[in-house]
Amino acid sequence: MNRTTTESDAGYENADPERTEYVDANLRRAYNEMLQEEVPDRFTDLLRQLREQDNAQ
Amino acid sequence: MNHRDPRDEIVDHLPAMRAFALSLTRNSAAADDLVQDTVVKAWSNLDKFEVGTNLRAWLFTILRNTFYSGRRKSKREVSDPDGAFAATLASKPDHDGRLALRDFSVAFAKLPDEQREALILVGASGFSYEEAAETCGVAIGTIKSRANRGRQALIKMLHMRDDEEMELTDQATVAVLAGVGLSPC
Repeated sequence: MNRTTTESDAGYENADPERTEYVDANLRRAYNEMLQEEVPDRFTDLLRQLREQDNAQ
Repeated sequence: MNHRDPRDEIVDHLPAMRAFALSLTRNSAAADDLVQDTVVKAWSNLDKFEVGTNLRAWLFTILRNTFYSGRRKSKREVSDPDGAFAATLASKPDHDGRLALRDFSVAFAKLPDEQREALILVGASGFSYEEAAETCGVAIGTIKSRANRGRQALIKMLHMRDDEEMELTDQATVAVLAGVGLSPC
């Protein structure tokens, strides 16, 4: 395991693939958690209203 | 080739739009308002969408433009590229090397806007660097650099390092780990 942080490494050429994957795996987990949330009714209502407006024109 | 009417497809992208909006606003009420504004704007501009291209990327572009134009108006929230909030969290990975989700999310929320969006796009939602660059209106190298600076800031904030067995129990330990001497008091 080698995850020593280099402070100066601001570029992407030196990115450590192992560390990148470690962070990204946690990111995907947090993101997927957000995706699981149920979409509130206000959005389906909104899309229905927009469609009705279109049809009325 | 037949493509679905984008009007029918928007609903499929709502969960991703809410997740992206939440990662930008860091507030669920503000996130949903942002998604609502985005849907209304997208709907009235759908004639400008090229059917067959990436609708999610197009919606994300509108979402982030809406977010940043709102932010310019309110003129708050200075970005924090140096991670001045860093090092306040002590979080150890659990057995399979994953971090407590809450700790991770708290640390993520402290990143500057441009690093959060780069990481959400390429790290979490599977955008290519090219798509992310186009969505944010910057060069590919800029996205790569932002994503990597974000990753490094997260690693730093979460104290992910080789000697993970450490316990941050007292001030002295913290000071040693942070690489600073104890100031005489």
